[in-house]
Amino acid sequence: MAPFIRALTTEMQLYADHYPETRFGTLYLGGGTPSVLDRDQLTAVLRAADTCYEWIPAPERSIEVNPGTVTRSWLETCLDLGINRLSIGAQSFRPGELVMLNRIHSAEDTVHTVKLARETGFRNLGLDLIYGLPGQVWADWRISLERAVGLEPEHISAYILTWSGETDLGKHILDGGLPEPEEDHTAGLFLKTHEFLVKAGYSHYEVSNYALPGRECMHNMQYWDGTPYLGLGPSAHSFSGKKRWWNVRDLPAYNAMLGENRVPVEGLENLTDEAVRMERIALGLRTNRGIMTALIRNKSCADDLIENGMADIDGGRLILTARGLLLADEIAVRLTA
Amino acid sequence: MLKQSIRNFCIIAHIDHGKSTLADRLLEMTHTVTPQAMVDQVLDDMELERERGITIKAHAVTMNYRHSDGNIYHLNLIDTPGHVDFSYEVSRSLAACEGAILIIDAAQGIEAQTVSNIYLAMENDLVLIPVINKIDLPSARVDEVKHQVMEFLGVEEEEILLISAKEGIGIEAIFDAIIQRIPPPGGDINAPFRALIFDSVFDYYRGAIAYCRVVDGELHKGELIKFMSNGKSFEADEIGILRLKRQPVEKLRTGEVGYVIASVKNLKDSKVGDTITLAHHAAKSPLPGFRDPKPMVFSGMFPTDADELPELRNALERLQLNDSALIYEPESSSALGFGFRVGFLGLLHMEIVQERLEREYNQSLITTIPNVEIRVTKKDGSSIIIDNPAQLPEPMKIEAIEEPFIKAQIILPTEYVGNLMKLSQERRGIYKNTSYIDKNRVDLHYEFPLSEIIFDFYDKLKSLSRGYASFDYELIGMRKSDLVKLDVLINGDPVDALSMIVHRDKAFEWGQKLTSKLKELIPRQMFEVAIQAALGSKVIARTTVKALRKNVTAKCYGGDITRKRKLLEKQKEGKRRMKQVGKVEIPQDAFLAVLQIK
Repeated sequence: MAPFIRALTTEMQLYADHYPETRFGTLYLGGGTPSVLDRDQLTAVLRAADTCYEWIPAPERSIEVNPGTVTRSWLETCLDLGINRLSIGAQSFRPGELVMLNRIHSAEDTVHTVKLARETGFRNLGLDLIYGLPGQVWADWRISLERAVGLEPEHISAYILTWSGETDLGKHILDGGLPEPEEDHTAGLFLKTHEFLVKAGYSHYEVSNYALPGRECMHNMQYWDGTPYLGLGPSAHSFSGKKRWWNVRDLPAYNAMLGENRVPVEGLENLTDEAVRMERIALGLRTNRGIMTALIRNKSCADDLIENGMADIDGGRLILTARGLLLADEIAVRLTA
Repeated sequence: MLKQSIRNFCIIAHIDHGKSTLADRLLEMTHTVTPQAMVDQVLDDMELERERGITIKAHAVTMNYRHSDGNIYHLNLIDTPGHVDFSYEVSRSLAACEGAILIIDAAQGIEAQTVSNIYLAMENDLVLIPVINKIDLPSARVDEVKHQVMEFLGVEEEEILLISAKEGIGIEAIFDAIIQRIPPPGGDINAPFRALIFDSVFDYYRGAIAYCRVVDGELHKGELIKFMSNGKSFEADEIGILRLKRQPVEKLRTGEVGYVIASVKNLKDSKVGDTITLAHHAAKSPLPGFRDPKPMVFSGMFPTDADELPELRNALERLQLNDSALIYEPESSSALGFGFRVGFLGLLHMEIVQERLEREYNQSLITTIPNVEIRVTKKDGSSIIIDNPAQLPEPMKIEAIEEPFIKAQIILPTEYVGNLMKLSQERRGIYKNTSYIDKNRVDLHYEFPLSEIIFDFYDKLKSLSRGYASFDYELIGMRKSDLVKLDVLINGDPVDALSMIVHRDKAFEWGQKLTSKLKELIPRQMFEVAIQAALGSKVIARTTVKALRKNVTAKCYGGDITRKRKLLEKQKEGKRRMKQVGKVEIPQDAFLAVLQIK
């Protein structure tokens, strides 16, 4: 782990002088399992972040953790380092589903981690859940939702299962061992989820994300509203407003390049105005802020959406309804055409 | 070249019976081509032809052969197209020859297409050299096929040559037979120049290149020539004979086969079957047998993107320069906008044109359901020929409708006759007569409406006979039929480009099949799509494409955006290949749905 931490802090230093005017507003440690970092490693990373960049007062700082893998002292270290938000990979509260998803933790681990986090002083918790599993009906999914809401997290991410033949689960579906989730059925679960969580006081602010008022994940919102971001670590992506670039995926290659003080960039693209427009539409449609109607060329398509209850207009912005969100990709293609 | 040393011949064979392989052997043994330089099928030089294994455009080649009698002979092999769509071209190639090698597969025996070409050859008084090929195959039935040939052609056993073109067995004997049995060309060297165009191709740098057989007189380089069908004159810039490449000469004489290049800018001025003569010393009459190519099948071709209409027009113009059988005129459809009504020799020709437009001219096309021409007599006594269902007058104004009929010849093993009878009944066939080729195979004659055989008749025939049936047809004229227009409505709006004219008895079945095929081809959309088939105002079939409920990526964070946008761009490109009809997006191939109906 030590070479990686050294490489990561080197990468931070390489970018340090590039953002003299910028004050960073959020930090997100995720994609992978950052909770495997011990307290010293975590400290080294955060110290480097504090040294290399300017920060606004009390920035949102999140870290992803798996249930049952963190201790009270580790959580205390997080708080000391300014990490004030936990994203807990609960996935499900039903033992059978956790097995299907190849998770080693239990529902009790999730409950325990939430309790521990509250006791340590975390005021901002998010739970990640997956639904639309093979054979899963609303009554099954509702159990996980109820238990999640019962823990009173500030934030809930509810993802529809995306499967492919490359995963164990996908292979099982393909070889007939598990029933293939049926799209119309999953669409029904999506709408029921929306109804359930909205009733529980959460706002549906992005396709798969719900939050109590004011508790939206600010970091993720920036991906969708076009704010530039800097991604660090293997296969991390960055965005400057005009360019997107991404790091090498391979950890040894990443470490080696930074060992030579080279930025570990694998690819870069310059965005045309049209590409920017397409991103604005495709990403904006996913959120409850929608898109500016000025971006839309195909006005009759927009009118159809409104007429059919898939979108509303509010303050010069086109915002998808829950039924519209289910077709966000299809609608994006139509509106960009 | 001395007339006495020339032999003009072609090879008649069913597809896959070994024409190209034998041509390869002849070229090799006359050193016209070295084995190293040889691509498999030397006479086929279009990419598309090679993929389909069909010789679409005929060419010719002159081979020099030193015979055992000590003389050198000039053997002109004229290639012939091998598909029913191109039977007129075949007849002109045959007319340019004095003899034909008739190849029969030792395992398959005589096939219908071969039979009809044998008749054509006989009409042109060609000497036939029967050759049984593939005698090396384990499945060869040499004796049986030999008897079949003897019986059919009325020849003696010793006249039949046994060869394997693939293995190079028996090829020498073919040269002997060509020289000894096929007469040298006739014609009068002192008469005014006349040459028969048996093929014509377009070259972007040189204009039309007429491949021709000199029948009388001689032509010198630089002389002013005249095409007798249209009276147009051109200067013969270059004349020559055909090796694997063109080889210019100073003059072409009676009996020779060669080419004429005369800066002819449009292939339409240099048509297959026409006679070339001299402008200042013209022949009195042209050679017999010329006719304009007649399209049999018509369909609409529309650009998927309406802005690309000029490009499509341009592509069709250019394609027509080297495909004189192609005709087109502007068409407008309320569903598809502006495009062209295009006439083809047959369905294969249509597919070739479509592929060439897409591949060579980079066009994104919508091709509509092909149909035949019909004649409508109106109540007021006037009559019109229409090639587009949309032009059909109101039913109340129609007195009668006639459609083209064909005479079909089908040869197949006796055991499949029952299957054939069933198929022909389904296709409104009229049985005429049967004759036995030998004890196992029959030659059946039928009449069919052309519209019943243009789609998949040949495929059906092949499958019902396990591949043994063969088929040939010719047009015999218009006859009255009880035809109606079947309309397709998408979400209540008629889509003219999907209309078709069908026999009343089949309208219901077609309606069912067409709507369910469209249901398969039209992807789910954001709203429900109702597909109906109707006769006039009466709906006879209906299906529904359910609304798409879900199409959304679950996770889309910083690292997913590039991939997401690229996917979006790809989907946008895919949408471009769809045609928006009302609010419904219809994929290109749905307009040809009828061809996919089994």
